[in-house]
Amino acid sequence: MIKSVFKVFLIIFGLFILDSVKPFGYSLSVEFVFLGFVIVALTQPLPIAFFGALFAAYFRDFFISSGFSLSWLEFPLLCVAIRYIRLHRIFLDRQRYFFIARGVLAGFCLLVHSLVNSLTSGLTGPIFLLQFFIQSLCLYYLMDYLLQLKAGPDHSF
Amino acid sequence: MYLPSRSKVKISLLILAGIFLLFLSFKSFVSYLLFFTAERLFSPQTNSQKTISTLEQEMVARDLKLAEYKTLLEENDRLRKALDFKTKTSYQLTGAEVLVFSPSAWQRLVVISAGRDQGIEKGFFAIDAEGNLAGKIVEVDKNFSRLMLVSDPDFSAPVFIGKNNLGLFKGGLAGAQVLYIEDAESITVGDPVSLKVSQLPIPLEIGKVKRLTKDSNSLFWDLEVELIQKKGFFSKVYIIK
Repeated sequence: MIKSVFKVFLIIFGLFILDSVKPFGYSLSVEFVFLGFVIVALTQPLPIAFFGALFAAYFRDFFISSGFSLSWLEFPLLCVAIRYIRLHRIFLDRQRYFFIARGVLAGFCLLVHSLVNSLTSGLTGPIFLLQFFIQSLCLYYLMDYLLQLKAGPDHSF
Repeated sequence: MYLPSRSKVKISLLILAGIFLLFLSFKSFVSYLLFFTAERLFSPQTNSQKTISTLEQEMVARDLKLAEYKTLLEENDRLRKALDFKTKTSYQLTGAEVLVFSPSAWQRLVVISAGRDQGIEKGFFAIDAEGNLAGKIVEVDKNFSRLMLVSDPDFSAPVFIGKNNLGLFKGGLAGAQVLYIEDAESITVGDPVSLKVSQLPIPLEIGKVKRLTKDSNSLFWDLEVELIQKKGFFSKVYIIK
């Protein structure tokens, strides 16, 4: 357990560094930390995923010293929502749909994240949101493939 | 009379002439090859040496410009005295490196390497290397500051549009805007949008009017602004003090 949490921490931290350096500038409208959290939430058991959510919330607003960050609420709630959907096997009846099902869940997370942030930071144009969604989903699949985190059991509370 | 040695000489001469003609046609290439080899052999240039020479060139060009400005400044001073102008602003620039970017995609916030110890204060404006507005200082620590970029949705500042219109500039991820324009009759597309920084003697142009819109229920006009500084990505900024 501690080993897994540490591994998740390292992944989130590595992605946070990537986010802070922004190797592609603002032409890439993605949040690596958030994508890391989504992958962790989709693959790891709830307690570990919950830690992942806390790490991600902490790092996402790391440079904002004042004010309450909504990520502290959003990320754990998303984590629980993903677990709920997985437990009820809404998408996971067949193993061969797993790849697509995880993509759908990741898309759901991205939509919620876009919605929450657009509401908190005022209305953002649809072009930016579309750009964020498409780029994030593509990168999610790439990162999912590269990280190769093994999916944990569904009933792992 | 058969002289084998003479025919040999003739053939050799022909070959030499051929080689010479060949070299003549590739003269520029050969000379380039020669210069290149000589350069590599006698003056090996590292990247830092190249940078130094480029900077030296730039410095010379700036010195010339500076001399030109000095003359203009003196002329300006004479004219100011003649017109009895009492106000005179002065400013200082502090260079700072951009250390990190905010991980959030909904924010355009960077941390820079200058803080209270370097005389930075909240509300100071920063420009990039090209002299375009980069952003505004929103938080100051001892040695670091947080700079909100012009494209951040929370960035706002009063601006001039055209000659005598005032409005509130608001940054945005999808595009910047100027809000609360009561009368837009004198504003046309392409008019400059400039910010008056108290330390600077001249207004800082930040963009141009792209589109004018008015909601039928609203009292004010909204302007879409095309920012001069489009990349929104810097490695170094200069804070106006």
